[in-house]
Amino acid sequence: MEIPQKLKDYINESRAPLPPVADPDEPLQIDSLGLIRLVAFMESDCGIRVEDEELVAEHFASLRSLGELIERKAQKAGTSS
Amino acid sequence: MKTDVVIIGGGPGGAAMAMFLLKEGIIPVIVEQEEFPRFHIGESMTGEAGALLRRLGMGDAMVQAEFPVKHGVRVFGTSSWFIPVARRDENWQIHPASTWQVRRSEFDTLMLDEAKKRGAKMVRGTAVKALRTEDGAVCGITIRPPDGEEENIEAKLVVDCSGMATFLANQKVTGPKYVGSYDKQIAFFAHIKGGIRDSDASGEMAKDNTLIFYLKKYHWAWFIPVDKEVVSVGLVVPTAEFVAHKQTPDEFFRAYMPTINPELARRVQNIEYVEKVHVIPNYSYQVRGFCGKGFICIGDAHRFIDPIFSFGISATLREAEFALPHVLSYLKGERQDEANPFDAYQRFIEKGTDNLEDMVDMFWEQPFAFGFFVHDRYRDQLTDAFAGRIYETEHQPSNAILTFRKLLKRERDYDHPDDYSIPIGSRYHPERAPLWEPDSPVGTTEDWLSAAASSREGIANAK
Repeated sequence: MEIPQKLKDYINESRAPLPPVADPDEPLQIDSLGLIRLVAFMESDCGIRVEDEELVAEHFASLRSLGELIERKAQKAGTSS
Repeated sequence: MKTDVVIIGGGPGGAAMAMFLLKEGIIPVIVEQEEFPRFHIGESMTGEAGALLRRLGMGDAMVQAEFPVKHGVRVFGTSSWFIPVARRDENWQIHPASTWQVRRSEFDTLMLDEAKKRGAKMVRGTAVKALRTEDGAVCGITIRPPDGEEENIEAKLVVDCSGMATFLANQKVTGPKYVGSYDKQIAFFAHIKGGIRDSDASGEMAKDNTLIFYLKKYHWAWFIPVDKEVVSVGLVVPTAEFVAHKQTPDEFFRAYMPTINPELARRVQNIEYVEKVHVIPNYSYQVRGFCGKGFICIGDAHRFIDPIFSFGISATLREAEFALPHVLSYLKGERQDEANPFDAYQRFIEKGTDNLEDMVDMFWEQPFAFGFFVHDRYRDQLTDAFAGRIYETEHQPSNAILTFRKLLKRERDYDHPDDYSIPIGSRYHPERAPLWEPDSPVGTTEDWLSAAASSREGIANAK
């Protein structure tokens, strides 16, 4: 999984009081405001800028889909995973 | 009767147009068919509408009338967020500001009385026909007063402020009138006592802010205080939703409105209705070619998109103000031989309103991206748009709006203007989103997220 640990931590904090995400395919269960904060965190703290066209709910459905998004972006940027 | 300018309609558009003209020494005739005060919908204003009223010298009167003060809009979906009313100063710096919520029977009477006080000539009557010269220019109107005998009012310029009646469009003086993309929506509204407001004097929890609640795509409600005790509550849903319930408007409103959101249900637990439930179906439309020789249309008389961002009064007032210099030159004799002496004004208004339309469409089509842009990536630009700053002279279309167009996959071509093609805002434009139907699979971003996750779970479990 390409998701930086601090991002996983942020996601788990955002879900509180729900337990941390255990399964890469389980729904993240973060509401829309939480997702907005998540994207902002990705940009400010992880250096991952989600482009306007990438702001679609399906990329944030689960850890797997989020990981796939980050992986795709890293490959486009020419860095290897 | 002969006059320079005849204004059809004594609502806020007509009264404002009259007051702007009177400032320049022109005495208009206003034709109004109803006795005021009378009930009317369209009760919230943007920041720019408030600022315009102050420019018209109405600020003190608005304060004296004790209209509720709006500091912003709270939106309740599955979470809640706040859009403040904000203004820009001479250096384009943003500051918090406020505007008003109005009971229209009171506000419209205040405006029309002021227009009369300042010198406008009032004629009670209904416009029944546009008068045309041989070459098709408009040169006045025929009206029918309450006592029956029709009479003509000849005028150099007819200003159509007839609102949803769209008088000149119905007379086929303008270009075609297209049903808008929100025409399959239906709006219900009433006035109630006992609605629970927030309680601060200003800011996010100010007691008289607009509250918007939404349930799922195209299903939403408004809660707008109109005085110290009375709140206007509105419900907007797809017509198909209303039809599926097989209830009268009154039954449907009372039963369905509280289900829009638990926050709304909490606030309307113990209410008393002080105004009947009104209904407006098919409220969305756009008239092309709404200006020409001898005529212009203001506000609802040529276009109404959707009530969700409270632009009704705002667009009307601002169009009157923007029209003024064009009207003055026209009356001085300029451009009178052109096919459309007001075509620069028409294009300016169309472009500005198109920016608003892109914003409304984006809100429904891609709520997640919209929310992100409002809160984060294009916060100030969207605060401007919500405040009513949607016109070219106000840094529009902003990058936010241009991004909306890119994500909605639409282009707006202003280089090959025509007054007849189907606009993007039309229900029948090839790129319009499909109609909502009952049992549409996805309502909100949250619904989508759980649906997408469950289907993945289903696939994983099946392996």
